[in-house]
Amino acid sequence: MELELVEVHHRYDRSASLQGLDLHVASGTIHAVMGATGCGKSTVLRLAGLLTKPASGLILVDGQPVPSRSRARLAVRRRTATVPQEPTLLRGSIRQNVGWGLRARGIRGTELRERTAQALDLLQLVDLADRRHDSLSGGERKRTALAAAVAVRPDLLLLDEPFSSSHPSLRRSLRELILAINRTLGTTVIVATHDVQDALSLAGALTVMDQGRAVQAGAVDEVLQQPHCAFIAEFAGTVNLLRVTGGSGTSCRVGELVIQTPEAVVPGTFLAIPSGQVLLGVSEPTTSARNRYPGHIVDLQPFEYGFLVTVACADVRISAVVTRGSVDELELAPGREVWVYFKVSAVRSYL
Amino acid sequence: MRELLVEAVRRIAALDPEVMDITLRTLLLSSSATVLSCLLFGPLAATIHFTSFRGKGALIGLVQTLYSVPTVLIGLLVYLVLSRSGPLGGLGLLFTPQAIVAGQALLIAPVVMGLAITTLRGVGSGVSDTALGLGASRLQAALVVVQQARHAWATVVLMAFGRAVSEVGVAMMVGGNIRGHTRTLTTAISLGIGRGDNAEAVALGIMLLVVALAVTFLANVAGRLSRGT
Amino acid sequence: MTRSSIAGPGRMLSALLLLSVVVLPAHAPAQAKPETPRVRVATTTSLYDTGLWEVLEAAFEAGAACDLDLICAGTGRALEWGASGDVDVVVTHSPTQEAAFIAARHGRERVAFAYNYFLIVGPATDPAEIGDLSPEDAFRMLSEKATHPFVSRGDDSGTHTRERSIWKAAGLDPVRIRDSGRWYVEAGLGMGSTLSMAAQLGAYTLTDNGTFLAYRDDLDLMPIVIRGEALLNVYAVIVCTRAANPEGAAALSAFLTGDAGQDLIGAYGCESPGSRLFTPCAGTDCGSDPTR
Repeated sequence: MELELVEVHHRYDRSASLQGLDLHVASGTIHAVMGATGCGKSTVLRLAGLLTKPASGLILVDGQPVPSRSRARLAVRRRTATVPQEPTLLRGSIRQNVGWGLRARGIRGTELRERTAQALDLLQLVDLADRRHDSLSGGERKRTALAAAVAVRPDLLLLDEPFSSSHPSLRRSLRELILAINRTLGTTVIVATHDVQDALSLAGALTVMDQGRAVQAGAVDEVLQQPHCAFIAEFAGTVNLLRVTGGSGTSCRVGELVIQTPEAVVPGTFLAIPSGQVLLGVSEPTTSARNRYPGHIVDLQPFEYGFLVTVACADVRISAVVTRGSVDELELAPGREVWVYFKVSAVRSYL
Repeated sequence: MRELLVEAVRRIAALDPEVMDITLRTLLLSSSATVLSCLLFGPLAATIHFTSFRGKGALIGLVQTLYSVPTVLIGLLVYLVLSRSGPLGGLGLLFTPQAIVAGQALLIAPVVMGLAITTLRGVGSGVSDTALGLGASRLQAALVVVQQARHAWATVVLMAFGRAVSEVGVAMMVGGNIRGHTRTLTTAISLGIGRGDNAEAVALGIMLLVVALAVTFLANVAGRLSRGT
Repeated sequence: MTRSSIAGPGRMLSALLLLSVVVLPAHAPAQAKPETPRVRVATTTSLYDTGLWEVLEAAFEAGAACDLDLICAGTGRALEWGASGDVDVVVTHSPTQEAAFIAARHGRERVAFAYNYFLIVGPATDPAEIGDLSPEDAFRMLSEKATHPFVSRGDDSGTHTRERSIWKAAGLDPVRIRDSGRWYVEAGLGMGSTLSMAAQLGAYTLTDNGTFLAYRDDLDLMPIVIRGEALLNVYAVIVCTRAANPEGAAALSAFLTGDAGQDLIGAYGCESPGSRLFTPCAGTDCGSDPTR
């Protein structure tokens, strides 16, 4: 489902107001709406889920304005499903909660039971199915809400901070689940998040928000490589984001470099290597780091307590955070020949 | 004073038909008024809560101000409407139990509406957001919110009943305190003092106290249940 | 989000009342036989508080296919109800107000059916020393001294009307009396409550004989002034022109003035020593020659 917000103004509970927001989400994509807390992300999700009408501006679904008559509007709203940041469960069992959206659509009997069971299974909630709504942890509530949303098989899935209050192990399976839903069912997904890595790990496109406006939108790598705002720039500066162009298994090719990864990746995936974990040496290192590349320094910027040093290794640029002491000791300066090295475990892969 | 109390308790213990008749009638009339008021004004309160319109806040404020509307004013209003020379005089309802029920239902309407709105607000926006986010229609979402409050509704009903059962203005003015027909605990107590039959007044007073305490007790229980402890 | 339309309060009230008519008869209490016609009687409190009506009601309902609805009110209010048609019959004791009621065609005929006497009662010691005076002189004395409290019904009842006519007969303006000091207490209550209040305050008050006798055991009040034409108290029944149940109303009037009713009235209260509470007088001049 294609969704477009045009020049939307809206004020929701005083804190977050939208001031002429534009947002375009292409059908079948995963789109991250990113920004600091209070920038209006959640309001965007409420508008996109048709829970609220904007004070002014236009919302288009598949190119058509959303109807204002409540019956027609409900039909459009039923193509979406929202998972709030802190979901409130309804009184009853987890199973009842997961099946709630189906019952609201008049689905009963075998179909209700089967689709509920399927969603419970997908979110690993089978063991909790008969627990009461008020006996769950935050993460379990979140999964329940996600299961309920998945059960209705929406064309547009709206997730507000999907990984908050989840254990790291669960994050991974949630991420894979969201990716699988997107890929196999063609479900369009909008993720609101304040965490760049979350956005990166899911989305192909990104809209960065600040004070109720979209300050930048585009493909994730474009936005990260040419950030318009300090928030993204700071993150982009501290993480090397490399697109995999070839290779197979745990040995992949990025431009002319071959990089070892902890898990198998496919071309098109991003590799993220935190700059803090990239080391520099003036001669070939003797450490156990399996990723090591010669290159020359192209840039050197003061950064936090030291410098951010950018090194060109063949056709790839990799940055490293280096202390002031090391810069002096190694006599680092633009043009100097250096070795760049980092451990396999420092490499994270994203779609 | 002591003999009075003893005599009053004796009449209650002996299930004095007059005392029992008045007590039962009072319970029946006031619970009818409560049911009627809840059926009419509960949905109205929900409509106010679930819709947005200009002046909504002011309207809710007004309703809550009307909690304390004096009972005799409602009595007077209903009297003027039901009197043979009033707009609904043709129904011949003045001095009937129905008139008391109607008057009390009107009297407790602000309590029913105000507490209902407070109850619905207490459910929080999370519930309706969850329901709407899963594709509920506005009506379905509203019903879910109503359903979530559960035990809090018992408190609303009991508070409304408590006000109805303990009022005297409406029952006296539009009921007329007719023996065996529209005499309630409160009007009978007034009459008992008027006629100097203090033992009966005290006996009826004890019954009224028991009813009022029972209502408060049940409301407390309901309150604790709705908080889930 | 639709705009809700709020019905006007008048409409809402009417709808509520209409609904209650539809909903309630099914479970309205104490309607043993819904088809039994009811006769609504507004009766003066002084007559009701003696307990006489309980006897009369039982006898009437046994003989007639009607239920009596007895509603207590001072004469003034009872006549207002009669005028508006809210009651079928009024039983009152204020000749001047009753005459005005008839003159306004709210009722066709005033039928006197019983009488007794008003009394000025007060503390046994009679601190204002009015015991030997006529009612008019006693009132004048109370207002001149203005030190001994007097409790007035203050409710436009027959007794209150009589009190005001005595003030007038004594050459005093009842309106000015109201503001003449703290000794004059307006109760705004029924006869029984007013007597209780007078006893509590150690005050004088004007009462009908019947109510006083019914209450005297509980009260520290004694009859102080008992003689004088101004104290004659006649009870009358009027069938209202706008009665919803004229047949029942006429039946009640006939019962009160007939032999059965008259006998009951005459016998009521005679078992206890003292004196009879009421003298039946249907068809006579009703004690207008008080030689007691």
